[in-house]
Formats: sequence, C-alpha cells, structure tokens
Amino acid sequence: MLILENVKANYGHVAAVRGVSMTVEEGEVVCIAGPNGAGKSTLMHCIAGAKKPAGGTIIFAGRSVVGESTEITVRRGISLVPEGRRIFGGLSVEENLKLATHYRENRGEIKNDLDRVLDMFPILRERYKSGAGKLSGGEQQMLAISRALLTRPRIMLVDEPALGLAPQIVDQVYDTLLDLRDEGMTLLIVEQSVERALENADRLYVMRSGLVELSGTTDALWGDDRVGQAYFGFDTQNPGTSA
Amino acid sequence: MIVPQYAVDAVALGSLYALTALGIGLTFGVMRLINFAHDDFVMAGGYALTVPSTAIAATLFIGDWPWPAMILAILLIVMLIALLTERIAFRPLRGSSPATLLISSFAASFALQQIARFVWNSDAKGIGVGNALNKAINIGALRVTGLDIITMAITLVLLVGLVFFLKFTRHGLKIRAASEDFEMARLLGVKANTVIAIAFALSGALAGVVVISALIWCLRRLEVGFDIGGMEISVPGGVQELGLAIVILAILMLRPRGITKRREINCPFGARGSTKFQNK
Repeated sequence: MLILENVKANYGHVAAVRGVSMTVEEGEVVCIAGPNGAGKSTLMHCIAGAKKPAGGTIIFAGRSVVGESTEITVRRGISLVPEGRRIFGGLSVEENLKLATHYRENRGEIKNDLDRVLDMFPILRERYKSGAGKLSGGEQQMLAISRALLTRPRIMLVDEPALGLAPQIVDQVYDTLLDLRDEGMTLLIVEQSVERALENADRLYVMRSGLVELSGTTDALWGDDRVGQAYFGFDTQNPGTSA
Repeated sequence: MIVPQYAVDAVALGSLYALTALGIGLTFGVMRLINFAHDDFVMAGGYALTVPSTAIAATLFIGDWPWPAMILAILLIVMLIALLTERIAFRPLRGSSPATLLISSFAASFALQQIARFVWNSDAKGIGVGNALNKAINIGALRVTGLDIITMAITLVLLVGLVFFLKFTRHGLKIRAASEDFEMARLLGVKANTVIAIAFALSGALAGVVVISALIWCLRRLEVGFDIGGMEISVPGGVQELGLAIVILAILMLRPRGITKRREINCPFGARGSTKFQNK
C-alpha cells in the first residue's frame, strides 16, 4: 500500500533522512522506533506531503506522492497525527473536528463519521462546545486522532502518540489505535519506546541517524539483542564495543 | 457641543485605523506577513478615482461615477491589486521566513509607488469626489456629512460581518485554523492558496473601504505613518484575539489621538471634498 524507496530529506545542508526504504501493507500496524534525531518525524512529514524529500520515491496506492502538496495527499487518504498533537487551541472541539471534514461534500456521511468518533471518545462529546486548548493531554490526543479519522484516511501516520502522556493514558491511546487496526485501518506509528513498539506493532523498523538500522516482524525481533544495538548504536550487552 | 462633535469625528477617523488594522491583521494572522504594501493598496485605490495621466489637474474617472458604483469599483480594484500582489510578491516565497516576506512587502510597496509615480507623477492632485455626500447635515449642533455616516456604517457592518465570517463560515474557520497553525491546517486539507487568497481579498476590500473613507479625512500623504497606527492593533490583536483587537479598536476609535492627550484634530471641515492624494 505504501512503498518508500531510498527516501532522503534535508534541512538546509543537514541530512535528516539519508536513504530509507520501507513498506506498509494494507491493514498492518508498522512502528518506526529510534532515538531523537533519527529522522522519524521528518520521514512522516515526507509521506504526508508536508516536507519535500530530497530524493527517492514514495508510492501510495500505486501512485507517487512526491511533489504533491499536503492538502492533496490528505484527500488521497494519508492522514498525519503529528507529534505534540497540534490541536487548534483557539478553536472549540467542534470546530477542530469540523475543519477536518471541510472539503467533504456528503453531509450524511460526515454526520455518521462524527457520531462514530464521538462514540469512540465520549469525553469529546461532553466537551464538544468548549475550547480545545482546555482539554488535557490525553483528551487532546483523542481529539487529534478523531480529527485525522474524519479525513477518512486509508493510512494513518501517528507520530509519537505517547509523548507527554501518563502511562495509563498511553495504554488507552494504543488500545484505540489497535481497535482501529481491527476495523481495518492501516497504521504507521513513530514510537520512541522499542518495548511499546514491539508490543503493539506487526512489524518494526529501527531508525538511527537517518537510516534504517534494523527491520523485521515484531515476533521475530522480540527479545533480539540486535534491536538495542540498532537503537543505541552500540552493543547493549557489552557497552564498550561498537555495533 | 464640542465634545460630541469631536466624538463623531474621532469615531469616523478611528474607523479608518480599525479597517487598516483588520486588513493588516488578516494577512499577518495567516502568513505571519507584516504587509507594508497595505497602505499602497489604499494609495492605488485613491489614484484609481482619476484618469491615469501626469497632468497637474486630475480628471475624475471612477470618482465621477454614482457613489454605489464608485464604491463597488474601488473595492474590486483594490481587491484585485491585493490578489495580484500576493500572486507576484508573496506566493513564490511561500514557506520563507517572515523576514524574507517582510522585505518582499517593501519591494511590493516600492513597486506600487513607482508605478503610480510613473503613471500619475508625484505631484499632489486635488480632486473633488462625492460632493453630494460631503454636504453637512446638522443634527442639533452636530455637523455630520453623509460620508461620515457611510464610513461609520460601513466600518460597523464590516466589523460585524468579519466577525460573523470568521466565526460562522467554513472559510472563516479555515482562516482561524491557518492563523493558529498553518501546516496543521494544510494537513487537514485546507488549501494554502485558497486561504491566503481569501485573506488578501478581504484585506484588499478593507483597504478599498479605507480609500473611500479617507476621502473625507484629507490624508494628503497615505504613508507608513498611517500604517503604523493599524499595526499596533493588528500585531497584538491578530485574528485569533478578536476580542482584544476590538477593545483596542474601540480605544482608537474613541480616542484616536491617545488616551490622555487632548489636542485639536486639525482637519478643517472646509477642506472636505478636495482631498489630495500624493504618492511618496
């Protein structure tokens, strides 16, 4: 469904992504794990059309998305829940949600979708008219996920959904994401915690310094020392030696 | 009766600042662009009232039309200039730093001025516009002109209309969202070109109203000094904090010369109707 080949991205002269290839199949949950500065978020922005790659190809559903603007990419079914959630604090919960449906025409369908996300997150129904900036971090994450869902994505890119949230809220967020997977949603999730990635994903890519260091199914990588080596760049069992 | 008279004049002048501030605020909110060409939109609208010519005596062109047609034509022309400026000066720099956009706005401002100088030359030109509207109506001891009333009425309608537009329409929602986080708005499908064009068109329309209103206020030189008055409101106000903006607008409308200073407004009523436009 999503095929990346040798994708590169720079900030000025600094290379953030230095040739990444990966695939995501329909209905899969794929996690990208890696330390800060690995280029994970940059890669997500490239897929969503928010950043122009410096090289490589990104094919979604058989067509390239490189050079397409964000607003077109989202219409094609790629929706990004960005790091830090980035809800519109000055708008109400209702307005945040309605914005995500603004380009859709079928009002009946929009209403159904809206009801669906509000059933999924009843707290948003309670806070429907209040300012989104007043929501707690967990509620904001729910709003950000709802907002992405209302664009009717075929694949959801979720960038660090656990960031700044209490552990039980993180569990709730992941439960929601896995429920979505059960309904057939394809998910590409950036996650700093390898453990959470291994627990929740079907497959894992470990990125470091703009490159994929390791990839495989989570079943195969579970308990594999190479994951730590790939993540930290040295052998976690013998920290003195370089991987 | 001197205080009520001042109040009426102050509200009419304050209306101009309010409209200018809103115009600058809209584009600043969406693009983080402080558009120094905004005052040149006003200048261009002023010149559009006359036949393009370097002759000392200006011949009225649009300024001679019946006033509803004149207002509509000026609004359309200034909107068009604003949209063209966006297309030529700002769209190619999309995503650049605010400093780059600022410099481009200086360039746009300079270009518009030089075009005006080339077509009309730089002499001051006297024009008599909307004489019917300039007839003073005496309400008790108050002297109010038709243009005064129209200025205040249009400002009020535009303020209310703009709040309504931003708060209750789909495009307004897009503009508010884009003002807060442009990239996130795009990630939700908001088309950057559309939302920026709407902001510029509205900003141009507001500048167009200022042209019409400015006719009364004998602003001989519509220049940066005039813009700064608007800037003070639009920068802290922006479009997100409409409440704050309106409070500051109210102060400017009621006390355009400052909260504490009491000075005469030296714009003699006799000068009305022979407003002079001059480019810098």
